[in-house]
Amino acid sequence: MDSIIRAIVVYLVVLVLFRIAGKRSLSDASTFDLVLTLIISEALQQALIDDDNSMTNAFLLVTVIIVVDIIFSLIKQKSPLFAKILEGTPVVLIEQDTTHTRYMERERVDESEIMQAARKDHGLQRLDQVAYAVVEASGEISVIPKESVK
Amino acid sequence: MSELRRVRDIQISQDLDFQRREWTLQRVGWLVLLAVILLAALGACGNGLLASASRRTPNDALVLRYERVARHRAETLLQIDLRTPASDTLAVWLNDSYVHAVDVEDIVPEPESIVSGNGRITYYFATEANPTITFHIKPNKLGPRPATLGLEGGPNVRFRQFVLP
Repeated sequence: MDSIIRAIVVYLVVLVLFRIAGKRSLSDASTFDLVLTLIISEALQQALIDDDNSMTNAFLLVTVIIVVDIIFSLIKQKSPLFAKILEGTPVVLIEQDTTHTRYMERERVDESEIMQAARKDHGLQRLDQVAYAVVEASGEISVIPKESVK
Repeated sequence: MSELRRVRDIQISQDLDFQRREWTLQRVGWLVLLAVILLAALGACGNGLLASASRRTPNDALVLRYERVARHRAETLLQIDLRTPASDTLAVWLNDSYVHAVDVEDIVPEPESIVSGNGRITYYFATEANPTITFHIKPNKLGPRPATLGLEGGPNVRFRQFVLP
């Protein structure tokens, strides 16, 4: 019982903390995000397993976390509001010739990061080749080039 | 899943009203996290200024220093300063419900014997005058832990520890 409560509490606390941190935190944008993920998992490990190193406990924790995740995904399917609360929504940062600088500030995204996504995914050279740039709910930036807008 | 809307050429589940509320809440959340760190630095979660406390008997025969807030399975100390004349044996007791809610990892100096009975655990020491006795303990139960510490045949002090998960 102790393990089950512990797994649920850790899942919920981490969920709230990540939502407070925002989309761009831990969106694997930099090497440091990877380091941060490792540090966080290491710090949480102790809270999850306490001093019970048995395989039973490990499997029980994983089972509980997966079941909570399944339940949440089922609720998300039924309730759009719950989905938004849990995962956030995408935000359009560049919309044809309009650049929403205020949204970019709020989401902590700058033009160089948009260009990085444009180069990586579409081989674009300049910002004026970008028709749309979106920061997805996951924190990733997706770019639609002008040439592919129909 | 969130419903799709049209932003010029693209269909996307953007919801700016919701997003603005989220940004506001996020900023409030950042302040809350900052406040948590500041309070923790001051000892609200144990190990600091806000957590450290002491209890003393009117004539200072027994002074206890302890932490108001302790953490589950993390070490905390009960430091007991006694003003007593030198004698062959000296006995300090704790109520047994408190002792059963903690793991006593170490006692310095080591007691010569430990006796249980009458709702107390009594520790007997061979000491010089005015000794300091330190209990190294790790709480194993959560929540408020009321406790009483006393000198056998002498005064006692009540204290309360809150154990965080």
